[in-house]
Amino acid sequence: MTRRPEEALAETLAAIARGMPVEAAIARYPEYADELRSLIQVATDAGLLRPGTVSPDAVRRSRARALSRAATLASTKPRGAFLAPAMRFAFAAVAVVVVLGVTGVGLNSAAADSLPGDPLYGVKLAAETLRLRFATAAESRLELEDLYAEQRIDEVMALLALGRKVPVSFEGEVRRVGPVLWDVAGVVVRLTSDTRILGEILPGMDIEVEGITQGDGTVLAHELHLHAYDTVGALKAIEAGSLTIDGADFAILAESHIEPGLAIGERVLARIGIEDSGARHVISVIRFAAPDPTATLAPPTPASTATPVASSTPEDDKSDDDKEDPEDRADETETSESEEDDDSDEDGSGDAEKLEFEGLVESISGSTWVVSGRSLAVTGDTEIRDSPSVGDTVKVVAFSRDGSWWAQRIELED
Amino acid sequence: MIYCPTFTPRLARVRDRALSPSPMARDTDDASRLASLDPIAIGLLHDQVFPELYRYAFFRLGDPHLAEDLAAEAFVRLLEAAQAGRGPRSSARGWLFGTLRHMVDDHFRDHYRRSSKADPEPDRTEGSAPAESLEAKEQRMMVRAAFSQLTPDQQDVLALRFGEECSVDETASLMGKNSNAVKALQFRALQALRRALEDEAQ
Repeated sequence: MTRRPEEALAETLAAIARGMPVEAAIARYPEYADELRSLIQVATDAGLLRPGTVSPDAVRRSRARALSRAATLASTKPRGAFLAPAMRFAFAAVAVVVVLGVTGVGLNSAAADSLPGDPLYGVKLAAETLRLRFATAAESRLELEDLYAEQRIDEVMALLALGRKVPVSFEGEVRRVGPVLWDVAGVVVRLTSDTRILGEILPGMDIEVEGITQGDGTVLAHELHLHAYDTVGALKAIEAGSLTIDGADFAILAESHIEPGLAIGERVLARIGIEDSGARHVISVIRFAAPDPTATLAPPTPASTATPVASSTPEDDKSDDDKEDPEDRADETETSESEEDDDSDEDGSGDAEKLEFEGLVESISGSTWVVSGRSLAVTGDTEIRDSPSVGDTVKVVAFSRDGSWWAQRIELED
Repeated sequence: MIYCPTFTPRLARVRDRALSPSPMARDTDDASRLASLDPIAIGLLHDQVFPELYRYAFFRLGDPHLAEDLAAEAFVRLLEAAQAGRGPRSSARGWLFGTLRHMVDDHFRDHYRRSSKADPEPDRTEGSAPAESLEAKEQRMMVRAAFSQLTPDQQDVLALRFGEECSVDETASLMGKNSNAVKALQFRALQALRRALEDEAQ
């Protein structure tokens, strides 16, 4: 069958691209041979207009421009976490002035806007320390510590937007881990072979980063230090100096916060601190109250493993109105189960649908894993075998519930 | 040990989030990560697509500085559009190429408005071999001059096919055309370039 000339040209070019000698490719269309030969020469000439290698400097300049613009956009974002920096700065500035006024220390409020490397930055830190010392209520103190930790991140963001090179130290949640770049609380952290990594750090954990802000919008990390993480599990024991969640023991310190009335066997959410020695202690423990949505959908799993769960960000906060009533949820679960039994809901809406598949772990962000494009909720009951990480191929067993997939088992594929 | 009636707001937020009915409503795809200005997603996507954007822009413009500027600006526009909710719904790469193509076309329109003659863009030679012979340089400049006489669509298809080395199908996807249209356009573009080269040679 005779092809049209444009099709003959396209197929000849494709054959050459696959490695077929030019004349052999042309010979397949003898009726167009001269025209094809001529146009292929023109195509070769057009290739002269290609640049050589793209300059790494050009890539770096463009990346810095993009990240800088992103930081600016983030600072003007009309909601959520990206509104918070400006407000937090303003709040901190007011707070410092009030505290300094109350305590009779008459320092300039300009210190509140200072950044690491600025002359007044030491004053700002001293004012924070002072305010923490005056915070008698434990919860106020914790809120302040959270506030100051977030403020350190805002300062790093500001330094990156300004392109300053300054030594910094900040704490934040590991959101994504890559071979070179990590996302720690929204800050791009660049690792080198000289970067010291202390502790077994996973996404969802809180770490301390020490490094230097760079002009390309990243922080060049000298040291990453595991600071704290959250875990969910069954409370197995609680004694004077220690607490056991599933099979793991954690020290209870004088400043540990334990929700009253916790019962043995109850599921709890705990924030665990890591000391330099590697010892782990309880920062706080609260009841993990609502029933697990998978509990009546999936068969019982082997003994639960204490599993790190995601740290939330302010933009994730939900109002009370948005929260689901645990009793309502339990009712829905029962309904779903009965529907599953009689198999009457053909469209599957509201039913638990089981899914088994293999896929690549694309990201792990605390309680949410993405496997081959599918988001999976991971709870304390999710059975995770062989510690898969991003980039691994895994076998997944999951159940659908309310339009979401809940992982029952995630297993590293051999 | 402290028994505290209300616990750390942070840990309570973690619990509420873990127990919320739709914990998987978190951003997972590129588009939503861009919209949330996730710096890692931005950095990774940038490093992946910037060389392609630069090569495309250089192929069409012949000016490394302008190519870098427009490629970088296209990426910044992506961030702005994503944040404003006008960003790509599926392929950020397709969106970037479409935007860059319009920017290059706009640049040429401005250039033509300012000059009475469609002069080719200056061909500064970043990326070409330092030891490029005078003859090779003259040949490249002649191709550049001939290329500048093609229509934007013809330039586009050649830049994608022979600059980016995209397949016909990929080119069709990036240009928003079907494969047959791209094959025909490629054929006409090469014929037009041949004629222009013959004119330049005279």
